[in-house]
This record gives sequence, C-alpha cells and structure tokens, in this order.
Amino acid sequence: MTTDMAPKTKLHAILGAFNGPQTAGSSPTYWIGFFAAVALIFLYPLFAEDYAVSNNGFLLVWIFLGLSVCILWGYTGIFSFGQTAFFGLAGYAYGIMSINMAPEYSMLAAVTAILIMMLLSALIGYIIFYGGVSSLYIAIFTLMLTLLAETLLNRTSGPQFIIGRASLGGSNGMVGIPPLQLGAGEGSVTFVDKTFFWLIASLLLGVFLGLRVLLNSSWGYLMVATREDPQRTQLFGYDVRLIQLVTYVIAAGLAGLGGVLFASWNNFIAPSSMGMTAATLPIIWVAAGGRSNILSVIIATFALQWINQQLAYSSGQYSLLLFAVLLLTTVMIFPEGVVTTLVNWIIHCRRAASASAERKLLLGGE
Amino acid sequence: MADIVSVTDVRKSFGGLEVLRGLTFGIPDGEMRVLLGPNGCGKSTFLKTLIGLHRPNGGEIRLAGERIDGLHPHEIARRGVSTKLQVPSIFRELTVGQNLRIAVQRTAGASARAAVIEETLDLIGLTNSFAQKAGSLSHGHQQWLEIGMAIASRPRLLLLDEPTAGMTPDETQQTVRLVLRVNRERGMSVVIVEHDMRFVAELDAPILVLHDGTIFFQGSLKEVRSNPSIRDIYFGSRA
Repeated sequence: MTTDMAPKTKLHAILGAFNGPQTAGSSPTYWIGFFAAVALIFLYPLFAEDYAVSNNGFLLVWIFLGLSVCILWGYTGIFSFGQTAFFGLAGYAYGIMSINMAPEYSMLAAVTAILIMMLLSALIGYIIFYGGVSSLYIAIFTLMLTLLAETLLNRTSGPQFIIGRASLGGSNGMVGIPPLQLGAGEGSVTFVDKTFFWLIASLLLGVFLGLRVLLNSSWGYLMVATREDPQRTQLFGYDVRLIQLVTYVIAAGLAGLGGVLFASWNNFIAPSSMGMTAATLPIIWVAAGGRSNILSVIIATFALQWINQQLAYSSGQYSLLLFAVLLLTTVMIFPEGVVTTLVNWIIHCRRAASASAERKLLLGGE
Repeated sequence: MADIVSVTDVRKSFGGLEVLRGLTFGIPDGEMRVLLGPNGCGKSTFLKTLIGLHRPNGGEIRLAGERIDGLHPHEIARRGVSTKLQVPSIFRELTVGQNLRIAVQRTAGASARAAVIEETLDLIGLTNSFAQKAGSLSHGHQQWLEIGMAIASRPRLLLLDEPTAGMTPDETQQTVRLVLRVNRERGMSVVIVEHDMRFVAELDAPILVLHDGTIFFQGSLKEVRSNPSIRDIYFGSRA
C-alpha cells in the first residue's frame, strides 16, 4: 500500500468524508468556489428587497423535493413517481399541527410532520421492497399513492374534515398555516422573507454536505451498487431490500422537509401539490440536471422552477410545453443531464481524471 | 475433514420440468471440485440453488454443517459463499477500484480495505486498470475482475461458473494459476462449473459429472475420460 492512500491526519479524514467518486468536485479550487458561492448566497438578502429574497427562498424550497428524487432514482435506481405524496402530506401534517398549537411549537410541528412522513414511507417501503415489487411497478405504485392522496384530500371540503381549528379545505386546500417560529415572546424569530431565506439556505447547506458524506460513505457505495446490479450486490452479502428501504425513508424525509417549508412559506397547502403535474416536475428537474449528481440537481431545480415561474406569469401553458421538450432533449441528447454534461465538459477541458486522483478519492476517502 | 458443502437429495423443478432430481454429494473443506456435464444437466441451476437465487423443492444443503437452503442470497453470502456467475456480473458503470471497494467493504475494515484492494488487483493483474470503467475492460479482464471481487471478500467457499468462457488460451492459463493459488495458498474451497477440458485438466481436481439432475459419476479426469458412459452422455451413443 502506498503512503498517499491513507488519510494523513484526522482533519484529512474529516475533510475526506465530504469527497469521493459519488459526488462531483473534490479539489481545493472546487471547495473555495463552493464556499464563496455559499457566502454570496447568505449575503444576498442584505442587498435585496424582501419580496425578491422571499421569492428566491421559495424557489429553494423545491430543491429538497428534487434531491429526494435524485438520491432514490439517480443513486439507488428506484424510480419513484410519488415523492410529492410525502411533500404534500408533510405540508398538511405541519398545517394541522401548527394551526392547533401555539406558535412557539411550530418547529416541533415541523419535525413531527417530517418524522410522520418517514414512518409512513417505512411502512410503504417495507411493502414495496420486502414484497419484491419490480422496478416498473414501483413507479406505477408510487404514482398511484400520490394521486390517491390528491384525490382523497380533494374530497375533504365538508365541516366533518375540520381537525381542531384546522380545516382541510377540500380542493381549495388548507389556509392559515402559520410560518415557522423559533422561541416564544419578544426574543422569538418568525421565519418570513429574509429570515426564511437564511433558514432555507442553512438547511440546504446542511442537507448538501450531509448528502455528500452519506453518498461517499460505505452506505453510498451500496446505494450505487444497488442501482447498478441488485443481484450482484446481494451476492456480496448486502441486504438490497434494506438498502432500498432506508434510502426511501431518507428520501421521504427530504420530500417532507420540502413540504413543511412550502406550507410554512405559502401559509397554504392544496391537494394539487400531489397531482400529476406536481409529480412529474421533480422527475424533469432531476433528469435535466443529471440524475446522479446532487449539485446538478440543485442547480437544475432552481433554474427550472425560476423559468416555470417566469412563464407562469405570462403564459402558463408554455411552461409545461417547454418542460416536455426539455425532458425529450435530455433523454435523447444529454442522457447524463444537461448540467452534468456541461460540468463534465468543463472538467475534461481542464484535465483528464487521473488514476492517482481516483485512488486517493476511493481509498483515502474515509 | 468435515464437509464445507453437504448436499442431500436436493430437488428443483421449473413448472413440470425437474432439473435437479435428488442431488447428493459432499465437498471436504479446503478442497476443489469441478462440476462437469452437458448443457441443460442442471449445473448452473444447482449453483443458483446453492447461493439462494433458487429455492429447492426438496432436500437440504448445509454449509459447514449449518443448513442454508431457504435462506436469502445475502444471508448465504454472509456465511462465506462467494460466486462468479456464468455471465459476467460486475458494476459496469463503476471503476475497477469502486467494484472492488464494494466487494470488500463488508469483510475488510476501513483501515485494511486499501491493502486488500491492492492485493486483489495484483492477484488478478489489473493494478493499472484501477480507475478504468469496468464495462470498458476486455471480456477476459471482466471475468478476472469478477473472480477478484469474489475472492476479495475472503469467502470459505468460492463458486465459479464457467470462469474461462470467452478467454484466450493465455488468459485461461493465468486463470488456472489464480484458482490454484487461492485454493492452495488460502485454503479456500472451490467449486468450478466448466466446459473447457484443457482448463479442467490443468486444475487436476476431482470431478463430479452431473447428468439428468443427479451425480452420475465422481472421479479423476483420467477416469472420466476412460468412462464410455460419460462419452455417451456428451457425444451420444453410437448405434
């Protein structure tokens, strides 16, 4: 074994945990650029109007849903069409709890809503993966789940669907959902506009770094192995069903986080957040960005939701048309995703990946 | 010496077709056996039944005395059974290094992992292919990578289904040396399903001839070659 393969210090080992072959970018230049971009994002609200900051915060919310689909589809090979079910139901769960609780408990409501989604996904995932449902039927089954949730919530318009002070509201949705708040009384912080943006940016940074560690850990290798060849993976002694189930639960947590933040920002959640169009959009963000690249998915989700919003102001129908064309183009011309293809092109222009770099990432990563 | 594998009256059917008809034999720990037989005699079906991909309809399979038939494939693998399948089964989109990393991460701790990977690369002669995508390797090298992945997890029993299929004579020779080395130096029990008689001759291991879903004959290659009934099985009896 050559000496450069093992991490030299504990610091190297800690920093190495964020780098590996499952995520793009590992050089000092990448990290300097990354943290410079993060600093600019955090400073941005100081120099922009509340409305613009709030709106951009709203666009960031969708990234959690995009990452949910990314780790399932791109990294583990599970094509789930129904992550919006966890997104929408988490929004409803947060709404019901936060409307009925004092504002200082809104964070507790948020965490509980996410945990409920993870528990629900564990139950659904157990049926899917331990029941041996094949990949095609997983797509159909998960799509059916989100459409079922939409249909059921569309039928909740009567007074019998009022839980405490929270009315489910049928197809009009649930209104009056309070924003997230930390603490009580004078010293409390209510997350709206700029504070909401900082909250989202902080959560996104944490999720991004956390996913980098997860994907480059031994567990991440198993996710990728499961995507590539589940049978071969189990013949090495790994329980593929467990790998799929745990990833599904993590992905539901991410989608649930997005749903809670969406309901908190919007003060509203409706069944349409789980409808066919809503279920299709994350697939397009992930396919267009690059399925197995979390940074590409972040960039693509933000960019496409911004375009979607701009087109919706003028002519909403063109937005869906554009997305359909984009999906077709991606599948036919950029199968690895537009953003990933561009990034790979830039990297290859600079230098070819060397064997020693691969060795260092792979063997010195932990 | 106790048997590493003990197979008793194992039966397996697909619909109305009975492929394994009361298969019974044992393999002593640390030894090598070659499984011979014409196409369709049930060799691959037996291997898949042994590793849990097929559930037997009857009989029992024991690994070092522990009953393993009916267990899930990952549970059997965890008990020390490693397999190279007939069709190369590697992670084609990942690099050679990543393939080996996945193979060893369960059995080798983080501190030992790099050494095990380097040692395996050296053993299979793919040290210079570490960063190469596995799917871009030649067919023979893909076979070696899969054998390397199976060996790297340090199993008690190594199963190789046609390990030299599609290999050049030179590659076949190197595979012989590789298999003999892991059997003799590491004491690993090995079961090989093979058609290439030159490869079988080089291995110089006892042979089990499978025919019609049962063990038809056991003996050395010389005995197999001189047995007229086996010639009939392979080439048909002359009228």
